[in-house]
Amino acid sequence: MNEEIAKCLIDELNYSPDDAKYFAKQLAEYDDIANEFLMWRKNQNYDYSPALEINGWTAKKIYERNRSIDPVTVFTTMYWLRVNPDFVQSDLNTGFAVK
Amino acid sequence: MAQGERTSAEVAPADADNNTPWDELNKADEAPIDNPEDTPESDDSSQVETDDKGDWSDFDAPTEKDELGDKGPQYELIEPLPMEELPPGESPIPDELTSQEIGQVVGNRESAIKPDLKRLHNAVKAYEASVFDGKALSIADRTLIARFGGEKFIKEQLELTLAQRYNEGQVVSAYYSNRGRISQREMWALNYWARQEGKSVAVYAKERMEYYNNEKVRAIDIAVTQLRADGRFDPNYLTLDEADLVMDYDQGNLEFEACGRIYRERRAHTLAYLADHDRGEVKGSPTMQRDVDLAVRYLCKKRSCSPSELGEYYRGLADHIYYPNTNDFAETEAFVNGLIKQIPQAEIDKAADNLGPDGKNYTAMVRTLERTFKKLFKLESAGIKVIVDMSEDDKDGTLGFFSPTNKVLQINARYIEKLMQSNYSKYDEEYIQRKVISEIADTVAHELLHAYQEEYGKLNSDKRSEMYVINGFDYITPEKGHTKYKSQTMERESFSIGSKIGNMVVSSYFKKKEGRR
Repeated sequence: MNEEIAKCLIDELNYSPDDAKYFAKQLAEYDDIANEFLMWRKNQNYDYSPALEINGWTAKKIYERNRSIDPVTVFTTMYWLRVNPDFVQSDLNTGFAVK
Repeated sequence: MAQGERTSAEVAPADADNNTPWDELNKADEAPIDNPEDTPESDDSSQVETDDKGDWSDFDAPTEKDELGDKGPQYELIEPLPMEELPPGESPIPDELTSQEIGQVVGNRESAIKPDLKRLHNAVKAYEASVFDGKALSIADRTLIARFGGEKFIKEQLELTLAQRYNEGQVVSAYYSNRGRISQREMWALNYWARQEGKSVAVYAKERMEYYNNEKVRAIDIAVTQLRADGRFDPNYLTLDEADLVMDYDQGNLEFEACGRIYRERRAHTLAYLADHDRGEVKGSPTMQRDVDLAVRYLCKKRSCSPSELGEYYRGLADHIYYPNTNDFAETEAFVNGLIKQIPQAEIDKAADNLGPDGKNYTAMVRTLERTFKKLFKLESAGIKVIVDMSEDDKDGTLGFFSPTNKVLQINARYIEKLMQSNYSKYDEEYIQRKVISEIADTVAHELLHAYQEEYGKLNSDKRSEMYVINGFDYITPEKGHTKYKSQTMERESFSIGSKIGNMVVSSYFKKKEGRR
């Protein structure tokens, strides 16, 4: 699944090979998150159901915080919600504001 | 990321409480103001009667030098106040006057306007401090502003002042680091020039960027790329354009420090300088040295390294910075936890206490955290100025920033409050307050850690400092992907400490609040 995601990041989302390799590893670490990413890839939207929920957040809710974020940000945020929620706390509060 | 020695153009906050005869005069005029307790942001100055110009002749204005410094006034009256009411279209100078009499009328008018300029200067200074530094406008300030026709006119004067400073190279740092964003002050200056030229700010800014891209940055790019391809980093290969750029930079003539330009400029300096150093011929202007001394120190440490070996080491560190693995994240957490352990809980409690009973005194909380972190990070004498921005302006998704160039750190407190109120409009007030306090405290810790990283990178030569330096050179902006932006070492650490401090302050504040209930 890691390779499939990396290929998608390079071919469809214009990621550099290094970036793709790095983020594919994160996205593929948990099967449910990886499957959600592939679901997004198939539908090109976040309206599928049932949707995976981590700490009260679905991919769609994350996306709705800031509609300009790319899918990799959406799904890596889900990854961090599971691994270290503090790391994305501010992003979710502020809609991925910058500081 | 120390790009220049030019000083910040921060203006000292207006001395609104200074008891001048003018203030005494204003006190007599306080009555027309409906609600003097209003917040400074409320534009109630229009409620002041403006038709009575009052007797300004007895105003003992400070000397020009006291008032304006050596620079003299940085604005002109765009629309001088009418000295007398005249029917529309009628000239203040009657046709039948002789040229000598006309000269006298003009002279009288000019001498009448001159004290007005000084008052205008006071009004602009007070207004600037209220907009950029969150300093409250006193009743005297508001009356003064009203006398000049209200905030719109004063804002226009402030824009002109900033634009002039900006063009004189006084408003320098503007955008911070290589993140491609500009300061609020520079935004105002840009606004002014864009309006003068009948262009949108975006078009105007883009044209300026293109000017540098086409005329100078591109030349550096080509030259440096060629040098690198040839494996020769001889400073004699610097092109005229590069030399011009260095000269411009040294002289402080660069007006708009575009992110890409600085990035390339610093690269060019570094490469040229490393080559010099490698041959034992360290030379060049002090400015160049200022910009690259970190890289040179780094090279000194590994004196036996060839440039290519240096490149290998650089790439190794870069991987660690930009593609952190689980261990690197754990290392970040350990580093941040180590810092937090050194903060006494009493300091956090004090910051929370200073929010006041209604939890809205953000400035006081920021100041307490500022002192705490400056002490923790040994930044007390680093000359870093923290600005709490309480203006209503839209900050376009920026909660705060640290500008290493002029050592200014800004917390967009009011913007954060508005953002949280908007994001959590369906939640209760306490929930929103938790988010606001947490985010402001988070941003203070976040930005001050950036200040620490900057200083640490400058003053040390260990692996951590090298990471900060390299990360500073190759900083990833959020536009390149939010996750990648926040995964890089400098942001990873700052986001980590921010969330922890935010939670600590919120927890302390609401614990006390529960106790009070």
